[in-house]
Amino acid sequence: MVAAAVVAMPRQAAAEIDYSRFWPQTLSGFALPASNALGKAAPALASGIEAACTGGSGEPFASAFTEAVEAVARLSMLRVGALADENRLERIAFIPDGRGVVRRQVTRLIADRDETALDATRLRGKSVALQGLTALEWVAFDKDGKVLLADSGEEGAYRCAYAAALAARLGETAKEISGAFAAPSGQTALLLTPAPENGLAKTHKEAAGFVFNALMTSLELIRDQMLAPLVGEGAPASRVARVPFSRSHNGTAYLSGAIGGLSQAFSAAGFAQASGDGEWIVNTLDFERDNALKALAAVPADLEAALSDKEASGRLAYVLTVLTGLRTTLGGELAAYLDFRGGFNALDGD
Amino acid sequence: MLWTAIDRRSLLVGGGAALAALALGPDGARAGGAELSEDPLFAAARREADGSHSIVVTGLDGIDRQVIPLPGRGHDVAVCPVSGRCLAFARRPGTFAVSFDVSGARPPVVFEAVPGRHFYGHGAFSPDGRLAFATENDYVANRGVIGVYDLSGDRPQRVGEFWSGGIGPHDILPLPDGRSLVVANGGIETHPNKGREKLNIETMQPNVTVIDRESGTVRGVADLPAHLHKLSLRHMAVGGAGKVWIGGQYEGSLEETPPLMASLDTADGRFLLHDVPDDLRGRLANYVGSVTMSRDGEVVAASCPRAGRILYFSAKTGAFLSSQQRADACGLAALDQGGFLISDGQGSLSESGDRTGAPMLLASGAGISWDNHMVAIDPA
Repeated sequence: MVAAAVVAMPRQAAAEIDYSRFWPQTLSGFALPASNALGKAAPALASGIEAACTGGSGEPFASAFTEAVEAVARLSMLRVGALADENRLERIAFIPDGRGVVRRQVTRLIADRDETALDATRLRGKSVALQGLTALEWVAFDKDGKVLLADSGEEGAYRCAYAAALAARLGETAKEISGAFAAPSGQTALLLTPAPENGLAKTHKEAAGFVFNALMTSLELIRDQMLAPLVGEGAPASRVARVPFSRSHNGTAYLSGAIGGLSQAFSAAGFAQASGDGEWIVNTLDFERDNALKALAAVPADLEAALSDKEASGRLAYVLTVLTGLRTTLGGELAAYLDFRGGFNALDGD
Repeated sequence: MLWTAIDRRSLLVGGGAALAALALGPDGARAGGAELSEDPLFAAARREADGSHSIVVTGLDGIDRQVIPLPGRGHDVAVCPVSGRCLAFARRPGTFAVSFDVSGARPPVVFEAVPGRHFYGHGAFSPDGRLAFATENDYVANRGVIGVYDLSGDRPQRVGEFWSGGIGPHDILPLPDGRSLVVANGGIETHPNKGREKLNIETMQPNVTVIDRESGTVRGVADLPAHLHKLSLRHMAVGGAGKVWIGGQYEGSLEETPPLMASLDTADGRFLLHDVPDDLRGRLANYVGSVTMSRDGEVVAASCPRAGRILYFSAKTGAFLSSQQRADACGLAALDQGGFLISDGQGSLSESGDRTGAPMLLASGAGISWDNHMVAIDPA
């Protein structure tokens, strides 16, 4: 997983690191605030949907949706603990979706007018692709990023009712996640209590490495799967489609939320602060995050249009460069300082 | 023994007479030429978010179709070419195996290795699907055996065994002649009382052995040259003409950089080693975790999870084609004609695409780890 061991690490330094602190600090400093923030984003979505569906402006909904995209992006960077149990990560957003599962399932649902999807409680029992913010985007936005929600006609009424159920479901899932992080069970608890019989982690070092690797996976997902294709070759529409929520012109909001979330998670965990040799990485992470967010803020929300603009394309390429540097710093140097040596197959294949 | 190996560091270099030919039948590899179904399914062992282990049937969307809990860590899944029935084996030195239907129509059946034997993680079916063959360790006699199982009843019955041709038999595959099995004997001695400890690194002698599955007789053995005796030959893929591709794991110093891929032409016994370009040599951690042939038979993929890289070779010429980076990627399954599905220890499934750049992510489950191997389940 992590391209570790590129930096010679003083063995003594690793021996002195308290690996038991990282996951509890991640929980209190990132997992709980980020899942609470997602829960707080849901009511604004609900009221925005109600306004748009009763003849009002779609603007409050669009604005609330952008906030929710950022909140989902931030939280989803963690990828472990309560998010890993019961497919909760997929329940808040079905990402990636290289095969268009959300589009196909939502389209079919709307065509069928499935009444059972209109109740937030019953929605939980349906396909995870039908209950997250990615589903709401397909219901509520057209291909040009315009809000579709309006109480006009049978289909419009169904879309509105389903959108309301999705907003409620998102709030409930966020609460479920907060609750599971606050009262550890499942994977959250397993990572807190390493032991020889623990199937995930026998030691605190293994548990911390598991969390670290998950964050590195998120970084690689953004870098390799979203930004690299975006600034690469090919038809702009297909490149843009690699970035989640770009249909609703929230692609940059997603990327900003994700980069912000990664930075917050690394900081909260205290990985870089744990080793005297790695402390410089704290400043590097903050500095590079600020640079990336500043560059993204100057990119037009319509990513397809942005790609035809030389200056905006340059900014996206710059963000890619920043992430490439961070991957080397975190996956190479920081991993080496912490003596994290790889993933499941890399460590113990056969 | 009909032939022995000759060493070439790279394909088509040097003369070396082809030795006596094996009489193999017409083409017809296990996955060759099959059309991709509309909803292709794949099976693999997985560590779940709660630390438990299972065998999972999944689609390209990453949505589980079937999850079969296991008593411990699994390894590979063998798929019956006739019925679609599957056998999954425990990772060495585990003693359980599971028989299951992809459809889930019948409940999975767990069965155990017989006393004195443990599984090495791989198995193969006979062409008619009636028998299965499992790589096993006779750890008292310190020899590899192939356990033979009759699958015609409700539960698999072990009806015999034969010598694997070496120590530490790992992967086993049917050859297209319908009668032979090829076995990669990794050469490493282990004992369940010592866990996964390797007991004979200095004296190990890996080989690839072709065995008549009906009589159990050894039809040919391909050995490595003496200076590469620490290159444990472990995972294989078979091409339509009976050419076998083998990935190795080097137990010597990381400062040494032997070729990690070999091929054996079972028609003439030619055994070749295939190297990578200079800029990759020494960057693969001397470890190949999985080997798979593309559906069109043109490309061989090999994963190097310790290096986070997948290698591609031309099945025709043996030439290195390209590589991709994917952290902790190990499982490789044939996808469309020339492509591969890649699974990794961080729970992701990705598609090789043009086999350069980054593989395209298809699904990314949180908190789970896909194990070494992933297999395509062709429609029966």
